[in-house]
Amino acid sequence: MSSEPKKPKNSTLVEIKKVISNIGISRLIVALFFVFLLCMTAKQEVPGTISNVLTRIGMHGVLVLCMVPSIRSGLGPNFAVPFGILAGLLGGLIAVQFNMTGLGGFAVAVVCALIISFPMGLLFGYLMNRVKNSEMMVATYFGYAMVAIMCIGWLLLPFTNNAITWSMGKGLRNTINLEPYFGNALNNIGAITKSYNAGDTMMIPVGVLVIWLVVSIVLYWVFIRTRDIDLDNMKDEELAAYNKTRKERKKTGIISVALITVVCAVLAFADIGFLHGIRSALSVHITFKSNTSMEIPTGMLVFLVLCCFAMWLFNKSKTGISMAAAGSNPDCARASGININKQRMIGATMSIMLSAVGILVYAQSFGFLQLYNAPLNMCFPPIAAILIGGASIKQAKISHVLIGVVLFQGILTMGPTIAGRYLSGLGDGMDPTEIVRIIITNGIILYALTKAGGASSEE
Amino acid sequence: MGDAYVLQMKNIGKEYSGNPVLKGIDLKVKPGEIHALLGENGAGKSTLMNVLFGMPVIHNTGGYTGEICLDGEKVHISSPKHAMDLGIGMVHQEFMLIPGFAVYENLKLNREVTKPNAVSRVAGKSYESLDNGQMRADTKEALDKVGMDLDTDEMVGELPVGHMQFLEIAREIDKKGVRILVFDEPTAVLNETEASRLLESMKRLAGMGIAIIFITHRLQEVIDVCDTVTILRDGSLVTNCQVKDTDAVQLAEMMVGRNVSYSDISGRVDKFDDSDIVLEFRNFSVDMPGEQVKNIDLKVRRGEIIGIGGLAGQGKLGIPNGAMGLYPASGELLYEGKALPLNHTKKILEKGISFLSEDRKKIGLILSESIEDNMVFNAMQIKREYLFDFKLFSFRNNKKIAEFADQMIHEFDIRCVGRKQQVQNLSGGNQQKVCLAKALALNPKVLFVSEPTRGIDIGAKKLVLDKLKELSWNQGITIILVSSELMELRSICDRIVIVCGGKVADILSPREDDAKFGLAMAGTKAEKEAEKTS
Amino acid sequence: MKNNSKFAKAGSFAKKNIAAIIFILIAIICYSLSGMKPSYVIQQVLLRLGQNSFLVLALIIPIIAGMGLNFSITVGAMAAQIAIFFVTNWAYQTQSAVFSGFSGFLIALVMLIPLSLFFGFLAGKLLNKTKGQEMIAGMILGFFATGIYMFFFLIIIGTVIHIDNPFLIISGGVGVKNTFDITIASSLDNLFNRKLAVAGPYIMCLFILHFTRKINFKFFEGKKHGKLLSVIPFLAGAASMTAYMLAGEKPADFMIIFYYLGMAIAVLSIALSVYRIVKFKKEDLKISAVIAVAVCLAVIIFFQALEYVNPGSKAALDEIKAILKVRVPMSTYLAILGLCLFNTFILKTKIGQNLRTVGQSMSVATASGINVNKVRIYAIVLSTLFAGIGQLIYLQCIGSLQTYAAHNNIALYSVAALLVGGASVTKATNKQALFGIIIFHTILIVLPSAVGTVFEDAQNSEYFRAFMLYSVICFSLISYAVAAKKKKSKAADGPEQEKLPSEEQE
Repeated sequence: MSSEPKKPKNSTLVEIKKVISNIGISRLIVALFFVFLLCMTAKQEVPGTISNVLTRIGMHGVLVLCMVPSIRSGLGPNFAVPFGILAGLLGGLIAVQFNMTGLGGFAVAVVCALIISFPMGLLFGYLMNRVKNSEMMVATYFGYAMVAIMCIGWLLLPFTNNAITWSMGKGLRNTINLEPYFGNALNNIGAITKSYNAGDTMMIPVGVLVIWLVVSIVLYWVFIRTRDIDLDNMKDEELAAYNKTRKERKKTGIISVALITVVCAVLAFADIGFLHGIRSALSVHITFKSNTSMEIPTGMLVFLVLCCFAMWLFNKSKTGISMAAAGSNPDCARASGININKQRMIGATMSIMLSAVGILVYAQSFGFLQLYNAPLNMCFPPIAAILIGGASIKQAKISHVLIGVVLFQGILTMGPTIAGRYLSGLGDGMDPTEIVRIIITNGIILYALTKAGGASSEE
Repeated sequence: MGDAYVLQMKNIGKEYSGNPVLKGIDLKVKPGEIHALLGENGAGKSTLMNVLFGMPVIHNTGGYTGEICLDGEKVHISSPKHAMDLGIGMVHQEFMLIPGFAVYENLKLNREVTKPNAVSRVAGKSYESLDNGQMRADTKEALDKVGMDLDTDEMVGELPVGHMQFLEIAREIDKKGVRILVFDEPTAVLNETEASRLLESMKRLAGMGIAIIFITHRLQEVIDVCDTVTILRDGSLVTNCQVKDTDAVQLAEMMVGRNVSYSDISGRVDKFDDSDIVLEFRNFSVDMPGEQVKNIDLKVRRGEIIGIGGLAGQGKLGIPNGAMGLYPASGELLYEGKALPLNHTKKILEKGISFLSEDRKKIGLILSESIEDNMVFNAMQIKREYLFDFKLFSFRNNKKIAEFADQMIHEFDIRCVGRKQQVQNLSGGNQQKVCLAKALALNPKVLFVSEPTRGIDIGAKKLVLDKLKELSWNQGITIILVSSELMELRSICDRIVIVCGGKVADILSPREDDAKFGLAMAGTKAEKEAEKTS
Repeated sequence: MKNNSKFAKAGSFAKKNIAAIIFILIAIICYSLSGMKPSYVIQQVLLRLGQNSFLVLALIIPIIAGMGLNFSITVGAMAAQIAIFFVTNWAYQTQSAVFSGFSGFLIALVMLIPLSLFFGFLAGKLLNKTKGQEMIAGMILGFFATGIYMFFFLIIIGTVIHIDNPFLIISGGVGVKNTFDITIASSLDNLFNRKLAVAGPYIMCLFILHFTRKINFKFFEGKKHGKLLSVIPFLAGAASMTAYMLAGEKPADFMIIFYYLGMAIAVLSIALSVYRIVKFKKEDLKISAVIAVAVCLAVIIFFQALEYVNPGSKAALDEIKAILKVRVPMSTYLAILGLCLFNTFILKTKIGQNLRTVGQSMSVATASGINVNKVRIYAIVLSTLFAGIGQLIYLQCIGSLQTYAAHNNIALYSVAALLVGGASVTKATNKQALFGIIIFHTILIVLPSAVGTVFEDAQNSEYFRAFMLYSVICFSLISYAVAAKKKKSKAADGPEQEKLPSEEQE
């Protein structure tokens, strides 16, 4: 449209503006809020907060990851997560029914969940292919309706284990304790526990972190960033020269970022005597008032990373590429001989299967399987998380999952601690972070919808 | 007074960011006159009409030069609303009708007759009740004027398509004080009886003293109903003349004629063997909206560049799109003598037939992906190349992809900052080069190329055309080149097929006379042949 | 042959109203399983009809404007709750009677109007930015607004706005209590209500006059002042019945004349219709109108019979007495009637025609010079306003305000009720709304007992209710999406527009 692009006077300012608009204003607010909370937490319960945040990241990570295939295949965020969760719950119940414990129990649960969720995913995919353009709304209510049906189902299913059924009366319990079965099965693998006694001091190398961040951003800005250049009005030699220097600059940039990372890592963590002074100067020192401990659920985090890696691999595969094509430009994909409906089916099925696995990861860490209406509450948070991470309802990457889950769960975990400190006047059991959760979750989804809506109204 | 013109457009000029698209156009219409406006696609007809209607697209791009006089009075038309107030009406090619509304509601859309009621006296005019009786009466009157007898309460969705055009006209007539009515290719979507009825009602309207500007490609219609004619070519005025002083051949010549720089194709013409057929269309029809193909028979010889030309909407785009299975096709398509599975894009691509789409942004490319990914996409999906192929699970082979992409970027001189740049950041010409590279990655034996130079700059145009020529001449790839620019076809093709009304109108040598091309494009020859056979 | 066409007509009538018919069957089955007393069910249904109708009717205009089911009516409900909170607060603080009862209701209404207009404007703006995804955006907007609303009531009140009122504020001084009693409880319902024995025949007679109006019109067609003549029975009947109603709880003896006069006109209307049916055959008669009249007639006869029949058994007699004593909140019903009339009226005006045009095709509307965005905002603003009033009516009926939960499910329940009545994402009428509420709430009322009979545990009825709610909405959305997809592939056959040269320039 704009035939004559205006030449901005202050290009740096314009570029910063562009970066902000690329990140998205609501996303930026959430990120700043995260940093704010981080700063507020710094002097408080650090070990507890760290283990809490890490645990919640691990718990929710796979559920967020399940958005990736659904968005990439063009279905938009999977609002039918509760539907997939039902399969996960069934898988978990089967493992409990046969008294499976530990990692084996978890594995059995996952396998059962995958088997059950596969036809469910196909059904969901079939439905989504019938309702193009209304996927999100239909998926939401489809999920709700299925959860409601399963509520009746939980009353009728023939499970016999006393841990699952009510001792008297019909139906299954509302929550099933997994502690005797596969509770914490993943968390416990290689879990790191570190205890601190009252009076111990802990150093957190905040300064090093800040230095690393600032230097990295500057290096990125100077060396790596792709600049806006006028490709068409450049002479050939100029372009060639530009491309050549660009490659070199990029190389320099990456090497220096790697270098500064190593230096900072050494500064922050390596136990070398003469660095202690610098490190201590650049750190925040915390003295614990009471005994406390830090637990890192290594197994669960590794599982999440493995899942992400598998998804990343899939995205690089032939099927993954054709699925993304079918999602981002169906017409083009069709012209390349790709069956769009099949790709959408694959995306839907993968998403449902992943959400089934996701709830099991969640449940083993949480310690309970929650039946009946509980899955309804699992619908929006994963969507909000991936959108905060930078995804839109048409594009999603693995990095969006990781960034999103860290930001979102970080805020949700740190929020109550902070709020508890400053807003103790509130009574009646209303949790102010609940408000924050509601506003962020729905605000970010609304923001994403307006961004996508603008595009669709132009068509 | 005999020469009291209702509309005079004098010396109209218009530029889009430096490119002149209209140069010194004059157009005069008397009341009660049917005036034909002729020209190829892109000749400037639409722009001229946009000027007349004061469309925002004109004012947002610097306005126009020259002057417009209505009844001898100079006016500056600032908006479509203003044009409407001045009594200039337009019958659109696409129907602005609502199927779920009754005939009278559609006719009075946003011009409803209302009468005040208790609420409207307080709350304002928009709360006035609809006067359905008056609206029905008005509708009846307007329909009578165009010679249409319809139930005013019938749902428009239940009417035959042919009636819609008449409703559009009736709507314009119903606007008070219409002096000038523009018909934009009204007969394109009508069958023969409907078209002749439409022409009749045009005559009837002209008889009522309304000046009519009639845009059409059918020369016979011009000869039949029009009094005067204006012909545009490449944004310039060719002539204003009386229809009775001319004939279809002359009109065709004036429409098409220009100096073509013929490329050197001598010595190649005889090389092709009429019996060595690569691709054969038999009774081939395509259901592509706006570009219908109807029972075409066509043989493509091995190694040639065959051009397919014709006006927009006549079906030339339907041929490649139908052959590739993008729009439902029927009939037979033989490749190397064997029937191809129709409507099955994948299998057709696997045979070594590749396609460069006319819509590069929507169909040709995935704009959000990188140059390299776009280039190898088809080859990866169809031929399983550029992959670490483990059959069940295959991953992209970054090294091979990079090699190919770098080679293509170099070969086509694609202006980019690297193969990982998103194609949406490239200019149109460079995007088209990526499309070409994408098609070539399949190592095709037959290549459909559709509008390869649409919307790209001259340098890229030349490179693309030269590359096509080279592919055919040096690598023996058979190319079917579809283009609405006749000059382009005549510069590189061995034969040119002109399509009209979804049928082959004529097959011509690029050296043939302008008039022959013009007549073929206007479908005159096809019509005459049809007359002979019947 | 004639029989055939009649059956075909009945068949197509059944096909069009398949949803409604299925739910009537469900209601009947559930009712017979529940074993509930008819007096209780009738009382509850009439009560809930008054409570919910306004909210459900508020959904109609956005549907006509093509914006689908307006899940963002939650926002209007919040406006009502804010108004009620302040009115209640002033009532406690000033101890003035102005802020309670019907005057309090009116003050809340006055407060509500600007609030809901503003909220509706914002919602409309947002929905204009999410064209094509209005429903999901409206739903999420409802949740989002809940967050803001909670922020206001939990944190702003007490920190920024200081309110010292132990009845409403949590003991710490910050935040509003979870529930409190409102001072305008039953203010509208109690303004004017009658027992069913009186109100029932009255309403039914009005219905008969309404349904026979068109037949009367046909009868007088062609005559001088035919239209006027045809309305006279309706007006006369309505006027005399209303005169009787307005004469007070125990009207003077002579007032009974008006009562019977109205009834006589209704009967006369029916006679005219019958005459017309016999004389002019049935072609132009709507089956639905005939059925409606028949039902109304049956109900009247039923009421009249109840008054005089002595059924022998004491229990049955008590039951009949109980039914006749059920109170009908006539004032609330009048408000609902007003909204129904408004919905009908607006569609017959210029702005209504604009709403319909935009609903049918945004592109055609734009091309014909209608400001589509403005019309859509107008639709949402109206809907939000009516939803606000609806929530006001709902809450005055409930009598207390659950500060953080009262608005949560109203969109869900209203939408479901509308769909049960046979409406769809693209089509809805007053009749469907009212009918839907009656059927839907009958099911909700009898469901716990019905489920209890089958499962021996009435607690599980909650799951059945949720299932019904979600599946009716889900099913409706699916059929809408499937139909839209079909329509789209059909519309693609239209002629393609020739590209302007300017677009090719780039």
